[in-house]
Amino acid sequence: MSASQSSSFARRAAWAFVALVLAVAAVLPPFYLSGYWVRVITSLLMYGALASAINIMVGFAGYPALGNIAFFGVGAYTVAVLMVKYNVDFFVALLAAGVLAGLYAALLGRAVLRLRGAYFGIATIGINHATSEIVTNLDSLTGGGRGTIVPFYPGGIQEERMFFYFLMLGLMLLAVGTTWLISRSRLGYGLRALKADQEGASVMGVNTTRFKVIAWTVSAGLTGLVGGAYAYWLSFLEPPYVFDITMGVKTYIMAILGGAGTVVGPVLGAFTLELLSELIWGRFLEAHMLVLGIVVVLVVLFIPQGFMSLFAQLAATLKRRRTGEVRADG
Amino acid sequence: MAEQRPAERPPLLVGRGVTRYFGGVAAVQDVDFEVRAGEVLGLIGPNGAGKTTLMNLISGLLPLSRGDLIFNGRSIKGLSPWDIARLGIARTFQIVKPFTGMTLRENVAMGAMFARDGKGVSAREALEVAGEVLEMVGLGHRMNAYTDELNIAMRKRLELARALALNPRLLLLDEVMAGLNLREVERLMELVRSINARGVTIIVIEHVMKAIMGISDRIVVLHYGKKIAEGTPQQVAQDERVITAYLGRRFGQGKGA
Repeated sequence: MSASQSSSFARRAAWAFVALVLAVAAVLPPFYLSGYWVRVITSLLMYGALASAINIMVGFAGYPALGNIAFFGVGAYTVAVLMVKYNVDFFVALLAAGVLAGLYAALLGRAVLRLRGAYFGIATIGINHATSEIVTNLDSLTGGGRGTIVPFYPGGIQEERMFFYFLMLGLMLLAVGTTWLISRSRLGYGLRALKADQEGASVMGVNTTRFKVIAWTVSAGLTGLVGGAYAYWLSFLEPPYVFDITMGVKTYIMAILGGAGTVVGPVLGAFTLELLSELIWGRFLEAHMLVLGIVVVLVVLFIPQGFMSLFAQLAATLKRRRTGEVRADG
Repeated sequence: MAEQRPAERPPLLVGRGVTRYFGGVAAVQDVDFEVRAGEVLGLIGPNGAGKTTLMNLISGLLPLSRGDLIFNGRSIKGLSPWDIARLGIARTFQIVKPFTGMTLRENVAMGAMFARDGKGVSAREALEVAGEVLEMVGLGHRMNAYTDELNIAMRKRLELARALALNPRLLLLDEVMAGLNLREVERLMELVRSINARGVTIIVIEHVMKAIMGISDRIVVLHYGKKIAEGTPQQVAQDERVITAYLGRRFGQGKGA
């Protein structure tokens, strides 16, 4: 009894230590690293946020929202239009980006979430394309195909670097925190149940329609926030930059790679894939996509459940070994 | 009318002219029935008689084409499955539908989380309730296992546990005993009786005749979507129409001669 108590205390202390190390590791980079690496890590954080956001749909609800990047574009253009045309403060515009992207998903959800599996995935790709066309054709508002220039960050280059680093870090933490809350709530259980079996979930009292719409709204809202931040970071927008289906598929793969349906898995997947992609990109401009493709194939073949499943297996093995030892002693 | 116990109680569920078409085919047609509070009603009939369709209509997975269903004095026609579940009607599926990727405990907790009395029950509280229910159906020792580690008998018990966690007033059991061996059937019969003894009204579909005869207070027989007989297990077993439906005309007529 007391042994288990002290071991749980030790575990808690260990977690606190890990959290501290992570916090320090998260804060330090922009103070010590070069501009290039700060930029790379900022983009890792951005992908971490996007992969977490899509995970809510893919990992929890089981809906392959391949075209979720549409909400990224909606968020980006919300910030651009509000700042350029209406002189709105960035943070107000960013909030509007999240809300608008969420509302957009809520409106579409009632109809589109009737589709299941690949059909839903294809529909979301269509939504991304259609939204991109709409934005391109709202020429007077969005600048259309010519693109639009978002106001620059007012401040020095070092200050700007810090700003976007901590902005993306904050958004990623928001996405991970939201996922954590969902995973422990009735919403999370309901989503996992309907992922396994919608009829089964519905006769257990889960309002499957409402749960799916909520999940997509949250996922889209987070994606829209990141899109808004990206617009300000990039400072020049064209529809193909932000309604980029390749980028959408990439976040999808990141979520799967890390562990769909887990809380921190998508972040691990995003960091791994984006870092890898960055390294390969620098050396082999042509072979870049090929190598990414090979990585995807290897993951599907060898760790279809993602990185987190490897940790789970490791933990189970260690536990078995430990209890085995206890039995041998007794 | 001579029977005392369940007959005097008010009906918990009443079906009036319950009908469901699939295209031009009537899977269930003009079926009137009553389930009295506290009884076990058996539902039998040859393959394709419409038993499971009737259950899908009651649990809201299929809309009625015609007729009405009144649960506890209130029409449940047109309600969604989750609304019906929260009114206190739980069910199991003939082809079990475990929530893969969740432990047994999490599977069962789903019921408690969204149940009739589930308003405000947090995930954590629901997990505790789930533990108790799993103990009750004899799966307490496998609480943290995943559903794909279970054999078929255990999966059937899990279906039952999940439905029970809803704390239902009416429990629909769709062939929970199919595919089980004799000893398992007997254990499950005992479990169903004990659930009924706690005051849960039960409708049970079963092909294992020994089981359905043993646990039902009354039996309704469906054939080609229509109700052809109703009564105590003894009455139904001797009914000529029932024997004809199951064994063919020759046996049905031979009975009287």
